[in-house]
Amino acid sequence: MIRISEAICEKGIILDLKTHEKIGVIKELVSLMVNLGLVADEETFCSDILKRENLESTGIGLGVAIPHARTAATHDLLLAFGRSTQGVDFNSLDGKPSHLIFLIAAPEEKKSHYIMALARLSKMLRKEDMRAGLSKATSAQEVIDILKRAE
Amino acid sequence: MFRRLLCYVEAGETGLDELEGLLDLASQLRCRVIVLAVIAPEGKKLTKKETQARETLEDRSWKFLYEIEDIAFEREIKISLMLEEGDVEDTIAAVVKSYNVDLCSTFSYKSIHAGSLLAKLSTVPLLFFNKEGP
Repeated sequence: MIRISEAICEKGIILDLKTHEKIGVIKELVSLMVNLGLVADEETFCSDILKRENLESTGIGLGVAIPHARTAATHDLLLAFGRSTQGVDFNSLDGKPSHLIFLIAAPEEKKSHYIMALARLSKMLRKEDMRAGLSKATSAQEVIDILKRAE
Repeated sequence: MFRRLLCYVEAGETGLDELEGLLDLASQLRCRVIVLAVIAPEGKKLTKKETQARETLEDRSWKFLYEIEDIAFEREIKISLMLEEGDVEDTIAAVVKSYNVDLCSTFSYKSIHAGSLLAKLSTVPLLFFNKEGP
């Protein structure tokens, strides 16, 4: 079973995103993964994520967005988290900006893990206490602890 | 003519293969599809077993929604996913109203009474997909 708290690491977390627009935020989160040496081709990775963004609103409402893609630019399930106090427009159906942004990517052969991770995260983030905890967390480790407790 | 098409689905009841009709229609209409799953609201006095069953249903519903999204993406269809809690018909009607849905559709005959839902939808048409034909 996929555990979100195990798929994310401290270095894959930004508590205060520098950019406030969708593409910038995605690039910021992707660069974390690139720095961790987890992305083989940054350009392809970004382009696969943005391709989905053009067709789907990955803002699931409640101040949450989960940009995601299946991509050949990585060999494993990748997860990054960014938090924006100001909020970012992810075209959520409820029209509200997203403050908690999780980026998920996986290669084609890990499709079932990828779908499972998306489902699990979406379910976790519907809980108000979970969102409140992530909004108030003061360190990357605290974010991981909150995710761990919720699983 | 139709800009937003809502489709109510039930994980375990609606098959992925049944969605072809919906996706064909969305593709022809070039509209955004909002796929909605509804689960019962969290009661105050749920037993451990009931809580577990509810959690499993929510897990399954999200998984089903993302599987649909994946297929829609391959066909370049604009899609949004929603999972809400509440009474099925009331939730469908509320989503239709809140998100300016022009056409409502479903595969499920189990949780919906066509007459009562149509009354709640006012002027928005309701389309029932039937895999086996009329």
